[in-house]
Amino acid sequence: MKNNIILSLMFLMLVILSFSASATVGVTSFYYENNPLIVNPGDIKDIAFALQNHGGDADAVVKVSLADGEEIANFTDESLEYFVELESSDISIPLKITIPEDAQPGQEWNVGASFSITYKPRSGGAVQFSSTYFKDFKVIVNQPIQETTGNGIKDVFSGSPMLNLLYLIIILIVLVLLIKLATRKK
Amino acid sequence: MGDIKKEADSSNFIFFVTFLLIFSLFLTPMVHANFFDFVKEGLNSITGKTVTSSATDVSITVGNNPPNITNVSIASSFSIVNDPTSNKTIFFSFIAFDEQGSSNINTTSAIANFTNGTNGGMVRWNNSAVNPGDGGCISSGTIGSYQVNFSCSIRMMYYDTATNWNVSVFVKDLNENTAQNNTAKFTLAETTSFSLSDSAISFPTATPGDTNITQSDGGIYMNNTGNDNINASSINITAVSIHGDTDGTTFIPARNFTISTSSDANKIQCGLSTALRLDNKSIDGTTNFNSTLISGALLPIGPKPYNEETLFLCILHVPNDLTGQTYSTNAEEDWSIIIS
Repeated sequence: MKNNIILSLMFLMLVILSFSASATVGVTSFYYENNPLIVNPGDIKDIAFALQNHGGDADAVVKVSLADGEEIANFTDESLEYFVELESSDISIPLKITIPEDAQPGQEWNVGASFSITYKPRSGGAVQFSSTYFKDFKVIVNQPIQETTGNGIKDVFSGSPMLNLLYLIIILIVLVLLIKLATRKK
Repeated sequence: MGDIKKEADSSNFIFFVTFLLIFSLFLTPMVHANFFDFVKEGLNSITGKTVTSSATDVSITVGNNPPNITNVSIASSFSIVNDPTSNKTIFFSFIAFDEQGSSNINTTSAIANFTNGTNGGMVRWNNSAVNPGDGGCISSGTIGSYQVNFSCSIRMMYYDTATNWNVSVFVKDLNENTAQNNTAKFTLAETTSFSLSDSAISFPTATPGDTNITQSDGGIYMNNTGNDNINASSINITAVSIHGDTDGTTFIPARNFTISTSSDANKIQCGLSTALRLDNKSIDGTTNFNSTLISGALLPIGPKPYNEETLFLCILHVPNDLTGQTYSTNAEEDWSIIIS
């Protein structure tokens, strides 16, 4: 009996995590590390992430949740579970950004979401690896444009060389007139 | 005495008025130049100074002005297609104007390209003379008597950088005069995407108590199919214990697995100092804090082989109480590769 058990276990085949499909879901964001969302105080922005599924052989289900920036961001769809059929594109996940009226210029938030993806191969069977993406971007309150770059005489002479020459000539004329006036008074 | 003073005042007034008149003469443009042109061009630029010698090429084309490009029309943003076997075709158009009439525009000369400042200056173009597969810019008809509308298409690859791209369009007329317009731009969105390809992740026959069992297939193969650089500190994994499909009471704990970006005959993928030990994690509410960072694993953007990564699993120890059956995650959560 003991030998039988050992024999049986000798042929134990550990087939695990069977994965017989090529699975690719992409999550697209129009705002990212080098392209933040610039806003003004009181702004309400409707933006979206987008899902696509190309190049594999499995449909997918994507569960979305907000991971960061709850104070200004919320997903507006009632259900945040999306079926992403193979070869589909532009499945939109709308996100509303609400900026407080009292937001300060330069203030920023990080808004992030997680996308948990499970695959359903069209050939049947099970895919026992899922994938999860975290995507985030910065929301930054616009800085007002500086109308002046500095103060005093430095600004006066920051124009074109021709303008500077004109200023110089005017100053010289005034000086000549002042000198003449002073000489005449003597 | 008073007369002398009046005379002096009068003299000063005349001097001042004369000065202003001369000064205003200097400011008045004289044919092609005014007084201040010498500041910009040097003394020789002022009419009146003797020019000893000067060689000048003069080219005059009588009755033919170069064309002009207006109305470059393109959407403000696009995203790539996450498929290495495909690409994203971006359609746009522009209008070429020629004073000599639309028939003077060379309708087979129009080309366009997209550029950005990354990766040494990435360029996508559509010159069908260079690449016959490209569609180029095609004349889609005239507008009135002086304008031709061109429709263009350029293909973007799945790994093209997420950033702002500049659009440049070019056209010639029948007299070889050229026109170029570089004013249009668009933003390419960032798409995070990777492919888990078709490898059946399996292990060879083993007996309870065996140690350091490595995968019998090529590992977990992944490739970046998007334009988001997945760097070395961005790939994590969550693992759960693997239960028997028939009798779920026996299982292989997640902690009995290691994962590594390399493998060799000496089983580097099983070494506790060279591989990463997994742990039983819940995927619900997963963050990169409750999963295992696969240090060293990265998925750069780019074509093959630059965008590839392979992970190797090892079972450190087969539990002594395992029974002969298949073990999988069917009754549990999946394992998950996490990109952050």
